[in-house]
Amino acid sequence: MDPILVDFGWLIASFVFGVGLGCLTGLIPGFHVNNVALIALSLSPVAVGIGIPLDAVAGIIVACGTVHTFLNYIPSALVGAPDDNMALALLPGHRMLISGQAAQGVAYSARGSQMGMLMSIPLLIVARLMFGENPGLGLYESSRDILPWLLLIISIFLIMTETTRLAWPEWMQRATRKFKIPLPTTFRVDIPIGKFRYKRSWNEIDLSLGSSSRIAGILVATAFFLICGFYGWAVFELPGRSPVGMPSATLLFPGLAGLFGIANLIDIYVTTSEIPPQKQNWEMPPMKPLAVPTFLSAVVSSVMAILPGMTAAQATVVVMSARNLWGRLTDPNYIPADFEHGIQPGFVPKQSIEDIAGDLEGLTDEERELFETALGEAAESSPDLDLSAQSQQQDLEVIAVLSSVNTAVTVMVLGFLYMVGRPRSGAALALNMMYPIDGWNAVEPPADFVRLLGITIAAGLFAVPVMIEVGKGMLKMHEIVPLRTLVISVAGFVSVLVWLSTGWVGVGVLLVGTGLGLMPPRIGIRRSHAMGIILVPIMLYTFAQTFDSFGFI
Amino acid sequence: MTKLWVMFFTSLLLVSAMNFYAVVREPDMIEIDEIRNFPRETVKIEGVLTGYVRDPYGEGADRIDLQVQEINGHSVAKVRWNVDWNNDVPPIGTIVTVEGEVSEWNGRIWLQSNGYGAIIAQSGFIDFTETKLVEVGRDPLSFANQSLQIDGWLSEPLAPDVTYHSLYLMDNHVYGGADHLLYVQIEGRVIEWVEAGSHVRVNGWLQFDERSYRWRLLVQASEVEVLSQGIPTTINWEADPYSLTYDVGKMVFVTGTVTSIGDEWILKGPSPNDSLCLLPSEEDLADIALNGSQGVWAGRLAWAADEAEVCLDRGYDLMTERETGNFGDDVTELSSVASDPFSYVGGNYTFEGWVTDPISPDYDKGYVGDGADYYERETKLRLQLIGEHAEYIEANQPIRFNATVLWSDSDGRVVLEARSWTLGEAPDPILLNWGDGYNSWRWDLGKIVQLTGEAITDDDGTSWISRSGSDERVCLLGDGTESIEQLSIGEPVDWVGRLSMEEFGMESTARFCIDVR
Repeated sequence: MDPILVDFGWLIASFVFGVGLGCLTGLIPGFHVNNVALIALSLSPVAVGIGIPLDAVAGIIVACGTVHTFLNYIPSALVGAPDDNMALALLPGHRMLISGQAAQGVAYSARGSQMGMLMSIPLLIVARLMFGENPGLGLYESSRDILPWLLLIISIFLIMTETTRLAWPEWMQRATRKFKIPLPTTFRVDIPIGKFRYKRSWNEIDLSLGSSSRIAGILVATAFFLICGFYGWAVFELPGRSPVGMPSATLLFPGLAGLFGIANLIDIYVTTSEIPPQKQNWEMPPMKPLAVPTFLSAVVSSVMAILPGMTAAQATVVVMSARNLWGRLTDPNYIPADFEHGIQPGFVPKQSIEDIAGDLEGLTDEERELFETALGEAAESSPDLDLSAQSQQQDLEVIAVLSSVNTAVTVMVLGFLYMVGRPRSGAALALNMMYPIDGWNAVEPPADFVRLLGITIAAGLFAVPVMIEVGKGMLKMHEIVPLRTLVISVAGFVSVLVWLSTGWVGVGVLLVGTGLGLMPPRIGIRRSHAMGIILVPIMLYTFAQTFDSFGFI
Repeated sequence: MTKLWVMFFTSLLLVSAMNFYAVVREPDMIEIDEIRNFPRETVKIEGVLTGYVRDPYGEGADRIDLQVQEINGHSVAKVRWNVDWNNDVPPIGTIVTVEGEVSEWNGRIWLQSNGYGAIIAQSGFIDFTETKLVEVGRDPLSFANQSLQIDGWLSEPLAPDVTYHSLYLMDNHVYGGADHLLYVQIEGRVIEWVEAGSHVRVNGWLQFDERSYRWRLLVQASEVEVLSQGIPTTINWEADPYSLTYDVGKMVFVTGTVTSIGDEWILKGPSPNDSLCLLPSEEDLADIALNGSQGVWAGRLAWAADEAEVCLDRGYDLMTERETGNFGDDVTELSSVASDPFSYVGGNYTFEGWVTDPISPDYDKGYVGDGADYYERETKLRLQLIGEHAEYIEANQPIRFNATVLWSDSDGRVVLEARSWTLGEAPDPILLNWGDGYNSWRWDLGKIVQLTGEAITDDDGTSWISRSGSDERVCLLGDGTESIEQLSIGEPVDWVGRLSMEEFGMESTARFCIDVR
């Protein structure tokens, strides 16, 4: 048979096999696409030996990676066990689940991923012109010197967007209670920015440390970021070896599984006992309302994908922060989308004064009267305001954006592998180590990239109906298997996988990571700060290279 | 479900269409001769694998360098294959397809290939044609460019940790008795010594070397099968002493009496003028009756560079002669780690040794050896410094350090990760002689050297150290005032600085420089 036809046959087979594997990696928490990529890499000499072209092995990795970014929403929202990229989807996804709208969540996620993929394809050309050379501006080469600074700035930005207000220690509050300097006249600031007005007035310069301080929140977030960073540094230095000889053991897997996976599962186990009946609303949302947020997601993703250590989680924080800022500037009544804190699992929103009557029992008559008046005024000023519906719509949008970012980052990482020759994910690294990457050095993209891009788009298109079908199956499973049993099974499976891939050292790393991962919801800060596990070591290494041999450290 | 199937077939259609476009635009298969016309492009070449070296600089790099020659032609391409250094490589003589990016630097050109799939052997592995030396000798043309399996005897020993050997495959175990000698080039390392005179079976590729006007067999070290180890020859005291140089590197027997003269050991023959320098082993030295012992002594003939004479090396351990200075009792020998690494892996130990090559302040890796110089060194281990070092650590500078012994899976070797260290006094500068030239000076690159000459500045403002009374000169990197100071001195002075090399890619030239800053 013609070798070209044989190769084509292998390619189609690899596409189908990759899609199947992607479903597995997406649905099984802790079984990351990177594991598949590294296993494929270690088996590639065998593949060459038995005549399977490496293009086909690469096709498996790419198809698997793409489908994974679609389906990994399902375990994060329906089981509560997200991977690192979908960690932020946990809260809005879980809110949809406990309000009986999980099916809509899955449909929005599918639409978001699909649009993220489609939006990022034209951006590949823009990115090629910006970061590549001949033709191109060659921004990547010129940005390499400032890379550590760029990472530092983005890390600071991510920490500064932490909005939680925390109390200073009581002794500090007492010690600084009198640190207030009265001003002779009231100082007022009123700056219009778009439709938003920045209004502030000060009667005094308040240097006291209070019980609701954003600075305290930022400091705690910084401390948590650094703790995770040093934990990450230790994780990178520790030796990990699979007791059963699994290839390329990496302790980052138990680290991330602990921080984002097991910690969440414990939270779900502790706070949620059962899931309400789900509405079977699998209808895909229209594309138009999601066009702007998903395009913005693709743009941010294309920038984040070129930076080492940046994942979809950080890209999502940037996108959602920008979206909330834009919302405030354009709509005075805008309620920022809650993508990070929200309600704890198990909380059911209450919509009327009757619903919350029981909660007001502790109030005095005067306080109760004041509260009811305020609620009445709010209803009069915004008669159409349905906070519950608006919150749910925002959750769906957040889910779409999250999924969009996740898929767009995957597409862009593949693109950057060919544009600048730098692998920015485990799957890209496996491709880079497996066969020669024909760089995108001319106007036309290299043949190999075109082939893999074709597989990516095809896998993305096919993943949408697959996701809906799998989502239906998962909800049915929810009806059969009690949530807590499912949670324990998943936690046990992840732990076994950790032991198999990294041994007892990995289990130790998993335990420490879980301990750290349990902290953010209890403190009230964003869990994505735990990505310091990757960012801090990368910054340390890159700064060390920039200055001198470990001189900076 | 209908939507699922529709999407599935749409996806297949899309993959097929994009694959068709990709097939049309596959990297070009080019002739090896044409490589230089495709700089920075990814190309495919097809040729015969004629040799390869794993980890060519012995630094634990995941790299295999290969030579691929045009089929039935004489052009050859160098391939740098970035892959696990212990990855399988097709046998020599296999026709391979190589895909990689054409890289060029300083006039050199090679294919940079990454990943397991960069080198593909055509039609599986080849069969070697079994033949005899005599048949090749009678009609080499009929075997030209073929993969052959030949048995014979080695004219020279094969040393481990040497990546290239050239010797003869003979039809007799001694040179004098051989009727046919086939020139053999062996690439790669053997695991242990293969003595001269060993009967071996080799798989290789026969070709005519136009440069040397002779036939040669290209063999990979892994393709040398030892059928029987060679028996050491006995040195005859009556033979011309000069003939000993032919046997340097070989295992030999010598009959004689051991005598000690001061710190030196001599093996005395039957006549008063018969003497051979002896490098005794630790066991020999432990024997109090060594001096005056008579018998047959087995050892390897070695060229002792410091003495400029041939010696019988019986596993001489120079550590025993070293000044111990402030070495504590708790110091672990580097050789102990090298001989049984896994007993030490994971532990913290104190080591003493000498840094083998300079380590610049902006680098953290090097090697530490158990001897002050190349000739005294028997063990050399990878050293990684964790922490800051503001100054150069010089070659052959003593170092005492506390380190964790680690096993690097990726490099497949022991790494001593040092977190604290104390440096001894830096060695004196190495004296360079004007007449030694490139081949001698290149070993001292990066080291502190001393050279006598006059500082001059040319019309371009470049400073040079010039050999008095000749045109020879070496570039001088200083603050630019050296020639003025030189004028005030009026005679050649000793310049001490770091020897470096500047390369000029455009002109394909290079020059030595001494940095005295």
